[in-house]
Order: sequence, then C-alpha cells, then structure tokens
Amino acid sequence: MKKFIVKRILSLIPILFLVSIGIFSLIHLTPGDPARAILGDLATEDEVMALRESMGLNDPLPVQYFEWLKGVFHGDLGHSIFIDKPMGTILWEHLVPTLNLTLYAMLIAVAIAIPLGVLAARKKGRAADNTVSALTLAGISVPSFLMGIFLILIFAVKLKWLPVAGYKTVREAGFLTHIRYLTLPAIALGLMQAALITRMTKNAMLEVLNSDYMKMALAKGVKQRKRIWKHAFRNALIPIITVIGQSFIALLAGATVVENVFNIPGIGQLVINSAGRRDYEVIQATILVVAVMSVLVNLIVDILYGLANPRIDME
Amino acid sequence: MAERVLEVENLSTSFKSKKKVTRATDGVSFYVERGEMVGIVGESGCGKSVTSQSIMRLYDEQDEVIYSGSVLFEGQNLMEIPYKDMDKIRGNRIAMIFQDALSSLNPVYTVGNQLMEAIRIHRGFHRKEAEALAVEMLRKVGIPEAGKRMKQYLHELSGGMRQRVMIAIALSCKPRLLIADEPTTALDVTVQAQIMNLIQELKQSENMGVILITHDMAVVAENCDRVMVMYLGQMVEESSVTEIFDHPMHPYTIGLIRSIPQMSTDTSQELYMIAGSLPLLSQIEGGCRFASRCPYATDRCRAEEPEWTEVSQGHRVRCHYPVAGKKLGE
Repeated sequence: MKKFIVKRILSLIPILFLVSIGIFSLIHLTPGDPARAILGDLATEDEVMALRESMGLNDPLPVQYFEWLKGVFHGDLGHSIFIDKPMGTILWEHLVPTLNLTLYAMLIAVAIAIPLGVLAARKKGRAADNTVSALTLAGISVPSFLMGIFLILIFAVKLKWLPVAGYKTVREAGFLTHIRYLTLPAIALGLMQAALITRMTKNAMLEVLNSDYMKMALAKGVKQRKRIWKHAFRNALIPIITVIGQSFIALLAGATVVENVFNIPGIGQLVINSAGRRDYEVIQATILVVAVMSVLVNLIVDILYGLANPRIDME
Repeated sequence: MAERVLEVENLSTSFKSKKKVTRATDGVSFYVERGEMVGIVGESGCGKSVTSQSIMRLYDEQDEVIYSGSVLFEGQNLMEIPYKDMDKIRGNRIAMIFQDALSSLNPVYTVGNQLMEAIRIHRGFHRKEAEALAVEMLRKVGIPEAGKRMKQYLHELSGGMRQRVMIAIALSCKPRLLIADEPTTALDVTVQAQIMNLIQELKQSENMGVILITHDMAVVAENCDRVMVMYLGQMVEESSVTEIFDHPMHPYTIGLIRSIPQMSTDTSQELYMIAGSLPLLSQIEGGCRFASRCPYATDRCRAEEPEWTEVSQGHRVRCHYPVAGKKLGE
C-alpha cells in the first residue's frame, strides 16, 4: 500500500513538469505586454522597456522559465502586480470558495446520481428507467450558466427561498448562511455531473446485474436489497469511482462559469480578472495550483480504485 | 422406494420478449429421490439449465418469464408460494453450483465472506460460529490451509479450488437437493474427476438428491443413477443409467452415446457426429422435434408429435419408432 502510493506520487513528477511548461508557454506566448498593461496607454516606449527589463521580461524564455521554476521550488509562486498581498494569501482566499462550491456540487451530484442510476438499472425498460433517461438527457443538455439563471429566477427571485447571488464566508456569517449562498450555484454546477454519473451508474449496474455472481447470490437466498447493494453496487462502484474523479475535475473547471453567474469570488474570478489585466504571475500560480489539485484528485481516485478492487495489487 | 425430494410435473418455462413469447421448455416431468443422482443431458440450448433454474425460480418473474406446471419439493409446490419465500428455500434447502466458479463468485469479497453469508442468512449463526463452520466446510471439500483461504479473493485461487469453494457454499446449509449445472465443464480433466468424486461423496454422506446437468454422456455413465435426455426443451428419454446405455431407444440418445470418444489405437475411426444442428425454438413446426436430424425419420415423424410413453418399467421415450434393443455402435 505505502509502496503503491509512493510509486504513484513519483510518477506525478514528469506530469507536473510538463504541466509547468504548458502553463508557462500559455502565458508567455500569448500576445500582449504585461509592462504596457501595468503602465497604461500613456506611458512612453522607454518607460515600458525599462519596466520590462526590471521584470526580467527581456531574458530569453528558457531563462525566465527556470527562474520561475526555481521560485516555485522555494515556495515562491510570484507576486501579483495589482493585488498587494502575498501570493499564498491571494490563492487561499479564492481557492476556499471554489473548493467549497465544488465539494458541495459533488455531494449533490453523487446524492442524486447513485440512487437514480441504481433505480434505472433495476427497472430497465420500465417507466422509472425512461423517466431517469429523460432527466439525464435534460441534465446533460442544459449548460450550467443557463441552469444557474433559471434557478435564480425560480428560487431566488420568485420564491425568495435563497439569495440571488454573492458569497459569505463561514467566519463572517456562519455555516448555514454560507451554505444558503452556495446552494443554488452548487445545484447549477452539480446537475450536469449528476446526469453523467447517473448514466455511468446505470450502465455499471446493468453490467453487474447480469453477471453470474448475481444469479449465484440469488441462488444462495440473499435478499433483494442486499443483492443490490452488497453484491451488485459494490462491484459497480469500481467504474463509478473513476467517473466521480473525472467529475470532480470537471466541476473544478466548470466552477469558473458558475462563479461568474453567481458572483462568487473564487479561483475562476481570480483567473478572469487577472487575465484581463495581464497579471501573469497570478495566472501562472493559479493554474499551477489547480493543475496540482487535479493531479492529486487523480492520485486519490487511483488509491480508492485500488482499495475498491481487490484484483489490483497494491503492493 | 426411497422418499422423493423433488417431483417436477409438466413444467414449462416461457420467456417474454417485446413481441412474442418463446417456450423454452415444454412439459418437463421427472423426480429425484434422496441419495440419488439424476442426470439431465442434452446439447447446449436444449433446456437443461432453464429447467434447473426454473425449479429454483431464478428468472425475473416481473417481466421475463412465465412458468406453468408444478414443482413439488418435499411436498410443497414451489410454483405456488410467494416469490419472497423462495429466499428461504434457495441456498438453504435447494442449493446450486454453477459451471463457471470464476464468474459465479463475487470478485470483491473474500472466500470467507461469501461462504459465511449463506450460513448467516439461513442458520442465523453469529460471526464466530459461522466462521468456524465455514472453515470446516472448506476442509470438507478438500481445501488445504482453510483458515488462510478464508481471507483470500477469488483471483488468488486455482480453478479447482474455486469450484470447491462454490461446492462448500452450496453445501454449507445441508440442502436436501443439490443442482449441479455443468460443475466440471470449465475444469481440467484431472480436476473434473476430483470434483465429481467430491460431489458423490457428499451426496452419500448428506443423503441428498442431486441433479447433474451435463452434455457429457461419459460423466453420466460414471456418476448418475438415472438419466433424462432433453432435446429442444422436451424430454425425449428417461431411464436408469444401465438401461439407457444397454438399450437406448431414442435416436438422439443413441447419437449422444455414440458421440463419446472411444479409447482405441485405430485412429482412422472418425468421431461420430449427430447430423445437422439444433434448430431455433421458433422454427419448430408440428411433428417430432428431432425429425429434421433423425436418420430414421418418416413422414409420420414430420407430421405427428410422438407421445411420452413408458416402454418398460421406468423407461420412457418420446419416439414413434423407439429403436428397441439397438446396441451401442450398431
């Protein structure tokens, strides 16, 4: 087990190395001059050149890359040009809303998807299955920003059950208010993933329900509920774990759009704002952190997968 | 006469699909006595497995299957009891072993877990008691280091071991009737003999009835007391094993017996084959179902369905021209 995890972590090093090159190139090969952006249109060419020199932007790209990488290894993710706070603080402040939103959306997606998927598989071809199929099709087809707007109109504007938009931290308003603000965005974000996980759960369950060991469980006299959850679901869980991991990463990415609709000061907002003002070190640092997070999620999925599937040798 | 554990009367199983109903087995009747092994033989698709799974009502009754006829098990008609009550009979009083233990055991639970499950459900044992019995069962079916095996998963065992585990599970609640559906087909020849010997031994010691489903007449000859031959969902011949090998009557039975490879040095001798292949159930018209493949078929065979008739004590056949006394190899 320990060896398995260490091995998996070591295999992340080349991936992260490639990711870092990707991030760096993305920022530095896009047109536009950060020095010009900082100084504004009225600055002279000489002033811009001087700033470029002092920021190290005139060095060859490989040199700039290794300077940046050196900083990263020393825990220095760079400095924001516009926000006067340490990079760590900036990232943390924006990461918390996004992570909470993502986790909440994930929870909603799984809580909806697993019972529905299992139900659809058990009632294959009947009314319940057809209803679930229609719902998942709708869920996959409606983009999250549109869903967000519908939800705001119904639950915030008409029914006034939940706030229209905004964000309150747990510290300033308490857990319940925090959750109230995140509920509509989490639903908007989670529904599409719920639809995807439902489909996957249904397919995984169908495959398992037709297997010989389910017939054997029946022939042993195991009761229906236990057959479904102990014998079938436990096996279906193996592919479902993988999908949930992928969903988590999709949610993290999708959060950007939903944060925009609901005006949540998360990572998405930070990246969009920083891109607008070419605060490139913030963009680099943010994307790096998100990339590391998705790689870590994959690692966790791999470990869970190994734990769920005894056929995988964890030694 | 020994007590009859099972008496199947006119059992037919039909499967529903969107447009039509297909009758997979038709009017199957037979019985099993305590301590007796009855073979059901026939090619793949002849209704052997359908018959055995119908006895345990293993098909989805909500929208898949329609049964008719009766299955008297220890005097109780299983076709008339509520579906839920079958949970108390399955795995407890009637147990089943399947062909492929690799796919029939659950890959994510240990041997011990799966073995103890049936014991705990039917015998109401606590964990400790169930564990002790499970280890004892593993020893009984000839698994060495039973304690260690309890904690292993399916993929860590050999094919023969897996089959033994399945037998241990089936026998853990001392069933009165064991249905063995091709229990040795997926195994090596040497392991096949071991497993059949094990089933024989346990049949004797537990005095249970056994239904052995197989396509292999040689296995029947070695193990069974009586045998039923099925063809396309119908029984075509039933008799004691000695009688059927000495005086096979149905041309299909004769074909099956002649298909057993003989040990001989004469390699020029070709293996016998029954001509043609199994028609689809939907292609059945009137007349004898075997007529299209039968070397002796006449116009009468193609037009008129033969009756199920007793030709001598305990020997029944469904044929217009039972080839009485035809000896093997003639």
